[in-house]
Amino acid sequence: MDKFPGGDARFVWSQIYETLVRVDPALKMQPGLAESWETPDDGKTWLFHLREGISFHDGTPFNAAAVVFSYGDGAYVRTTVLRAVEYVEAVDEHTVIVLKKPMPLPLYLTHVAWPVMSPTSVDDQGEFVKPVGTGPFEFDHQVDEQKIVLVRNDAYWGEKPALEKVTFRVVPDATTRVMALERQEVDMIIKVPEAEVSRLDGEPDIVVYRRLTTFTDFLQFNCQRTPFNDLAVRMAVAYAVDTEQIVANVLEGIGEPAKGRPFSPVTMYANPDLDLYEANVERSKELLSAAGWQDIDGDGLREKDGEVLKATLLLARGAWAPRHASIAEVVQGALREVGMEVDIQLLDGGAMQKLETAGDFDIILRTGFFVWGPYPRHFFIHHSNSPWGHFGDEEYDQLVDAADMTVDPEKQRQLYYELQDMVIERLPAFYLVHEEKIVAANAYVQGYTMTAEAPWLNLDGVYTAERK
Amino acid sequence: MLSYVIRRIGLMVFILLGVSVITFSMMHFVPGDPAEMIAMERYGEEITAETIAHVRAELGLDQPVYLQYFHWLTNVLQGDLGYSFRTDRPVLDEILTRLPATVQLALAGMLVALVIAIPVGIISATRQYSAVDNLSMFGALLGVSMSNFWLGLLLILFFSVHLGWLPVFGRNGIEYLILPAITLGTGMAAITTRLVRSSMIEVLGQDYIRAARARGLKERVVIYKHALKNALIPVVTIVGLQFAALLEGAVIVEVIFAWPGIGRLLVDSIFARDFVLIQGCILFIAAMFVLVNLLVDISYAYLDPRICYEAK
Repeated sequence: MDKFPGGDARFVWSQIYETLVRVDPALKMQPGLAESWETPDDGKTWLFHLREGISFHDGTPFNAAAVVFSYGDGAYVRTTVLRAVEYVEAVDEHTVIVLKKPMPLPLYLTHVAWPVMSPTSVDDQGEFVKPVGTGPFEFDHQVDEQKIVLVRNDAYWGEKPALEKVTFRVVPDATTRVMALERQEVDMIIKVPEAEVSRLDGEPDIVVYRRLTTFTDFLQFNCQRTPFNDLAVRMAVAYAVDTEQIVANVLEGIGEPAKGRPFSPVTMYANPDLDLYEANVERSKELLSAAGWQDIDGDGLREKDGEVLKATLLLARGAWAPRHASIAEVVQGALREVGMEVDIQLLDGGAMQKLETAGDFDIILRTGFFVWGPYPRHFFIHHSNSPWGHFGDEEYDQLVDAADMTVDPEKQRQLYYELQDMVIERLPAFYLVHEEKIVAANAYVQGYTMTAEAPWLNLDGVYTAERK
Repeated sequence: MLSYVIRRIGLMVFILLGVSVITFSMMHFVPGDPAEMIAMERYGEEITAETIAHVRAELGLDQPVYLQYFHWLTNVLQGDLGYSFRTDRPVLDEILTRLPATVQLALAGMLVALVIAIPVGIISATRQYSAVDNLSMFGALLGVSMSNFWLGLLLILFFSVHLGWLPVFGRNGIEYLILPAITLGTGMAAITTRLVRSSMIEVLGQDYIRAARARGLKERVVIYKHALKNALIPVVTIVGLQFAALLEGAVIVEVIFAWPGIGRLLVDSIFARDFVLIQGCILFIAAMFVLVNLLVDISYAYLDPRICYEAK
């Protein structure tokens, strides 16, 4: 399963495995393998009441022991997001999870990359044998990185899927994927590039699905060196870059201009009343002039103390590169307009990481980061403890910690609203575009409901009608 | 001949050793922390400094480079190529399951190239500056200039999407091999056609050809029996060298056609900084290359009896 490239195995996992708490296509929390949950002490202890009468695909009963197996000592997830968990213990059919510090655990447990797995999915030595879950489909076989075949779990506890068999194929090239769909060699394709949408829209036998996701592109500033250690310069960038234009001209109108808003509107606690940045070139120029950056020699670029206003913008090679490269060019043009020269560097992930660790950059263009599920964990990226943080603002760190340690929804909302205001005001990053995900299917594939979560494929209710 | 082959195979060990030292040190000079890349690949972006440290220790990447190489080499000498960082499966398995696909693709590409190049080259040479010659030389220029990437997609669009004759991607029956093989073979066909032509033209001007003609031999016999065999010697050399280009081209073709070969494996492992797997792939590709060159050298002796590898 790990053989599937990148994080794409998640599309398959989400069919085989389930989580204690899950989210619906609109990212609302729903009971999953746990019927209900409670915390007697404001988030330090969590009790999950497990659903009864459920079995894993191989007949192993789903019970507290399986939860302990999946989240107990030695589980990988405990070294990352669930580091705060002190121990996981079974109390008859319930499971108790005790944390060192309070946190809204159910939100973290919706992550399909950390599901409940059967203790029988590993052998006596603890080596992984095969994926065994409780989900609507069970693992049948895999042919290297070419395909994975899943079959319907006829003993599924929830609504049984209509499809008897699902085959996942790996086609790395996006254009090949589109052509395979046109020839009906595949029924449905994911990760359709924006540029292909208008062509597919014109085909009568193909349906294109689009939905706003939790992913947002952003320009992350290095706030620890000149020129972006000066808030005025960061604000000048925010006013100079027209995010409406990026969506309209580069992304074929697909996606929503963020204008600095850090959360996609589909995220939990997304504040609808933020004071966003409307593109304003004059305002941008004023800010730069007031900050001491003037074009003295008349070459179109501003200077201050004998230094020219220049910035390096890093992008990583990989799946996002084509999208990022065209966005970066728009940013470059916009900043040239206000007198800042931008040097775009498209780097291999490793090379970028080296510069980032050394702090040798000015801006990084990124997408996503901690945007799984509805919960606004994304704010951790600018925290000083994050490997990707370049903000170094103590008040911000404290606010992020406080928000994440709160369990009461109303208090959470308040803190996250405050954080959003702070990001807009202090600009650790300028947020550009809320991404739409695009899926295309042949018209005979029916009943598909797209989710707002990018790496999750919802096959509930999908069936195939007679082909033409 | 046998002792020559044995000597060459003995030399191969040193070549592979050299290749492994070079790739190993290059990988460690290239920027980027493999532990972080692997951690991200395995667990997504929600990783922390502790996770990275954990992965680094688990993969033994916290040791000095020369020690890492020494461990690797000791294991390889015992036939153990190690385990992929990314998938935790034996590197040898990963390679051997994909090797047949790449060998099949490369051989088919080569076949396409030769089936086009030899007849077209001969016709062009025997009818120098005719319309046929000009057309085929124009075709050869086109073939060299087209990128595999563009050609592959174009072929899919035409033969699969519009005509519906052939499948778009994957590896199954022989019909799945046709488009990738044509894509891969075109560039080589173009270069080889030009070479067959010029080599034939040169040979056809030789005295022994004139002599053969003077003896009243049929033109067919002159061309196919006397000229072709001699004209093929430089062609065989180039075909051997082109094999490397073919493997390189296979990387792109394998990505476009989702062909499960070693080229794609190599690209994926480079992106993931999966050192052990990169090392294994490079070793196999280098071995293939050396073997093909050996075959080329051996075939000289057959094609040209003047070349002899025995010690006098």
